[in-house]
Amino acid sequence: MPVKLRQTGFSLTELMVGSTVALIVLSGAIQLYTINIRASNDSLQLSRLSHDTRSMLSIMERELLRSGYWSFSPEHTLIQGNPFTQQKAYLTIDAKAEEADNSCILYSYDRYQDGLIGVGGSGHLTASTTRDNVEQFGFRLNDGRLQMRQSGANFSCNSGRWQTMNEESILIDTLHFERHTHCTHAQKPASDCSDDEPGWLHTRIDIRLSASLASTPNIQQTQSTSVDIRNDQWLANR
Amino acid sequence: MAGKPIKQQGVASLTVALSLIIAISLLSYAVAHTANTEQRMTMNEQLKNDSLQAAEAGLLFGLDWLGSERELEWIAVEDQLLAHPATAPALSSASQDSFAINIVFEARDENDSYIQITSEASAAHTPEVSTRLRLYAKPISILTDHGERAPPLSIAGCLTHTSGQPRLLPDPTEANPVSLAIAESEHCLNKHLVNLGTGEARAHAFDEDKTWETFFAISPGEFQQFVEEEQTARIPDSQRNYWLADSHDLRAGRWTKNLGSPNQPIILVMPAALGCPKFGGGTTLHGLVYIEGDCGDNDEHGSNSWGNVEIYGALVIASDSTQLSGNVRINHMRYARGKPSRILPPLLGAIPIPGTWSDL
Repeated sequence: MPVKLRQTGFSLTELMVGSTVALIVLSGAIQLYTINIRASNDSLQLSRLSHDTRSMLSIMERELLRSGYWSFSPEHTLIQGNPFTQQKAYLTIDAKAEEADNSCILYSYDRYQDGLIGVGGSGHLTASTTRDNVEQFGFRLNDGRLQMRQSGANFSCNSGRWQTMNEESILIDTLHFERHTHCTHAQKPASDCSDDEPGWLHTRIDIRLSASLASTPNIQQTQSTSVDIRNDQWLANR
Repeated sequence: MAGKPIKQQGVASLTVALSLIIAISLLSYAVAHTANTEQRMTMNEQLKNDSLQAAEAGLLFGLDWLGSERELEWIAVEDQLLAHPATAPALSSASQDSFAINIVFEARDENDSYIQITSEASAAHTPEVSTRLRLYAKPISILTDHGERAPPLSIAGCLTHTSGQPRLLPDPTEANPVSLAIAESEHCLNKHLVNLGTGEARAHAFDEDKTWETFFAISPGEFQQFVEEEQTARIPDSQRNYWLADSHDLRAGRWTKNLGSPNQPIILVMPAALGCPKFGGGTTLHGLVYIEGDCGDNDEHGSNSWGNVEIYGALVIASDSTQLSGNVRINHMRYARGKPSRILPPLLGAIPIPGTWSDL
């Protein structure tokens, strides 16, 4: 026999209490969700910053490894005559005006493998240079940006055309280069250099790079690396 | 029995809930996708770095090989000579990928002092990731380049007298071969005293004050250490590479030992204390003979002439010379059995040439 059920609704008080509780629970959930989203966003941005910083360091590392390379022709040339390891072309650590000390490095290598230093169209022409290309490179810190040298008449940290490597959302706080050298005797590689005798100067460059997010300055990343320059510098007389 | 239709409510709630789920799903997908892309980029970068390390290891392997193998098996390819080391081991990296390493030596000809080593590392599971490095290297022995390719006769002083014409045979493969080189000027060079064969005589060929350094890459003291090591190891005379003569080696003031072979030349140094020993009849030497003593005693010239001696390689006299005779024959190494291209003492290693490292 069917039982007749009497259906009744919630009272207004029950509905209000229920709604209030539901709102409190919902607002808590939304807050938690927002915090999670923010945390995950921060984590993503930190990971991206970390990746970008590592990439910038990696590019500098790979570039500096090549420093001093010269397309060598044993039948025509003496390795001591390598123009890319001459004092002015080899590694120079300096800084752009108004930037921190040691925040700029200049180097060169024979990218076009023609045996001559490419100084670009406006560069100074000598027996060991060519205007056909640019092989005088550099990295510098300039107003929160990491820049790579493209061209210019003077091979210096203060002039020429430089291209920014980092995105606008990233601010470079610190770029620091430190040079360590060790000289070995040219004829006896196991011995240190002695005065007035030729030698090879081995160079190691320590690089420290700190970057932060322009929008969230408290998200920072500092990374460092050491580069053993593969192509040593010839020192005829010490 | 037809029941009373149930009226379903909460369409708005369902819509909101579904929208939230879709939004969260899309966001999660975007985050996961970005993270995945970032991870792949990082892994590729890591792999690229690992391939650089693997190629560097290959270069070191090649360098080590080059410093231990005197005779590489060259194959002519166009205008180059190519050679491979026996085996280059595969390397695995921390990223669980392994790298196949291909090492090639390149030279223009077998006489080339500088050899280019190319090392290419390719990831086994990611073949598009590879690094190729190049480096020039120079195999070194106790002799300098000039020492290994020395002309038959080099004299640091003057050639003022001989008894008969010593016969000199220079490198037949050279366009302008030198038979006789002296450190002094033309006035010390009496060409008519020797039979120059197809070669020429050259004055000012090296620095008189640096005669030893012209032919040897090591100091006299270091040479003595090499000799003592072989003596301590009691290596038979026929297998010796280095020899510092003393009075016990002479018979009645004459050198009579036959030393060296085309493939294992002797580096024989006669120190100043021994004077200028005469060579006995029928002596044959393969290698480089360096006489520090005075061979220019003018009072006795003619009475102290050398006997019958044949040298395949080179003779260096670090003083004036008056004692050579017509019984002396000095031939470039190419005239020896097997025609070695030069004097080839054991290798001490191979040194990388700074300025030639490249990953371009």
